Amino acid sequence: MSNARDLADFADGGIYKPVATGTLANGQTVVLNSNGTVQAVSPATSSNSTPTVWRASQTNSTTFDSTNDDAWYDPNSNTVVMVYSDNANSGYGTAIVGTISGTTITFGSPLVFSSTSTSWCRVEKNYSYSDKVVIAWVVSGALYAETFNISGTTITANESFPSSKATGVIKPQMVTSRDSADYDTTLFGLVYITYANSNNFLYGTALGCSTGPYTTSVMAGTPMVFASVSIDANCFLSINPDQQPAMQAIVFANKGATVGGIATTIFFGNYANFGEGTGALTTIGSEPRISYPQMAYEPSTGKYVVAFDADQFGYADNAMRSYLLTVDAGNVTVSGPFVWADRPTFTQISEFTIVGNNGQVVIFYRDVTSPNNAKYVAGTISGSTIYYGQTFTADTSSLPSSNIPISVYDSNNSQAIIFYSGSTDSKYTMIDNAPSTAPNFIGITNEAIADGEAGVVSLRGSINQSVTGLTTQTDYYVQDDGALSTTVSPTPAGKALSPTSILLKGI
Amino acid sequence: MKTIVDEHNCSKYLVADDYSVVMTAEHIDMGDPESLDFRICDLNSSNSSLIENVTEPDDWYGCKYSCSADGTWTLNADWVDPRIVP
Repeated sequence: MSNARDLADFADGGIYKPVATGTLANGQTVVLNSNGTVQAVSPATSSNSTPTVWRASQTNSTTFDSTNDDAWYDPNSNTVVMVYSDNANSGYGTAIVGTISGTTITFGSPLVFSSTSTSWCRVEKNYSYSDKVVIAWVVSGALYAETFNISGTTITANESFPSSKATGVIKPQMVTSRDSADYDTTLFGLVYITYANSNNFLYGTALGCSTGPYTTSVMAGTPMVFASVSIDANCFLSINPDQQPAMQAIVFANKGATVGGIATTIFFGNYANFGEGTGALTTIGSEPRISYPQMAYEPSTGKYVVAFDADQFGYADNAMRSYLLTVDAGNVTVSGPFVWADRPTFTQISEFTIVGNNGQVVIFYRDVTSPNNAKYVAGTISGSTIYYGQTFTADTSSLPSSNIPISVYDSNNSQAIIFYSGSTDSKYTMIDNAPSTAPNFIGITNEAIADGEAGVVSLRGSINQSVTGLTTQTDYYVQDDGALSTTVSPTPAGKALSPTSILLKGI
Repeated sequence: MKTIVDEHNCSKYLVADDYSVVMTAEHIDMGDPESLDFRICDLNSSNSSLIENVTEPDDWYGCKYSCSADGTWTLNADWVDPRIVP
């Protein structure tokens, strides 16, 4: 109890009689509002903005996907920087900056930074500056990385003819951070680029680079082999976006033959160890057979979520699964797997992206059974578990296959922004999630209560006798929509004493 | 030729006899120490070893073969060619 209103709620002989916001049925699960009233538990809601075309009339269906393209969100300027292999312009490496206003992005003019067929474009912040990014790209296996200036929606290059940083580069991913060993107020940035090295048996390799305030050049160090195993062709390296000062991490997979199929081992590693030779790789799981592991970092819980695609030689139920990783002082604890999408029959759903924030992850994917609609599902992280909720449809048009969408989190507007390929265009949509209020459950009404009227509510520790249909001596949980069920949820309600009574003690 | 093998004798690298390989307790440096080709971070002198004077198999590829201390090569049954996309 924190105020006079709360004390007044208990004035009637110690019975809790709060005022209702909205009409409450007898036996309704409720939450406490900040003004002292109680309200029915409300289910998770989610909505997405109308899908918007930002690049039309492309030459094929692979218009913007994470294989060759990337996006980076700047919370300070509320802009997004996009880099892509422009298939309407001979695959030239191109960048464009957009300003976000609500659910609309207004783009400036594109800049061609590589006038040759370019692949695997990547973009991240340059931590030596407040107004620059690092863009990396690959031309015929040669890796380039340079600093670019951002001013409003204008992007300009610092160096017209950058030199290559490495060769044999396949499927690179990039992450940047601030060098913790900075000097006074002078900032130095770190750039890590991981890739499968075709000159070295596709072994997992990391190239550490530095940036500083005295030159805008990206200076490469010695390539480091962090895994002397071949990175599987269908298992991209995945690294978390810049989350300074959180640990930078990597996930990748490697396959080996087994009887009846091919096993996949997913590894998780810490960037900080790349140059130290400590080889701190953790085996997340040895799956029957999976592809395309994707990883997201959820900052409020400090956890990593690794989602992946199972295939027909893997789990019998074909369901899409994920793991939750907790990293504490370098020790990695793995829990799961947790199913994030069911599939009645095998249909590969390799095209998905995952983004985390506010204790949730959002997975956006192409559902080939619906057919090919864009869907998304939110998962709530609670302790060492992820609880996935209802699936929503974001775009009912048919999406092309083999296009992996890209996501960023717009922290200013509390929305995930998803960039994906249409049939011959590129689209984006903003996803706004409001989680269920079930985790704030405080009790169950003992009577029907009209809006604005006071009524009796059973709190934890008491027995409520306004429920029906329960199974005696069985544990019940509050579901996202407020219903009581034996299905485990993050919110335990209590144990049924009879079909019509429950001891609200939690589990 | 000489090969670096892991704890299970899996042949990870195969280089010429005169190629510089420096194994330490933390890592393995490959190439001219003044200008390394690359550094191996997941292998070191504790979990790998260097076998010298071996004859290269015609179709050697990283992790495809095991090599015993006497230089005998054995095909790894669980090896899948990573260059082939299923």
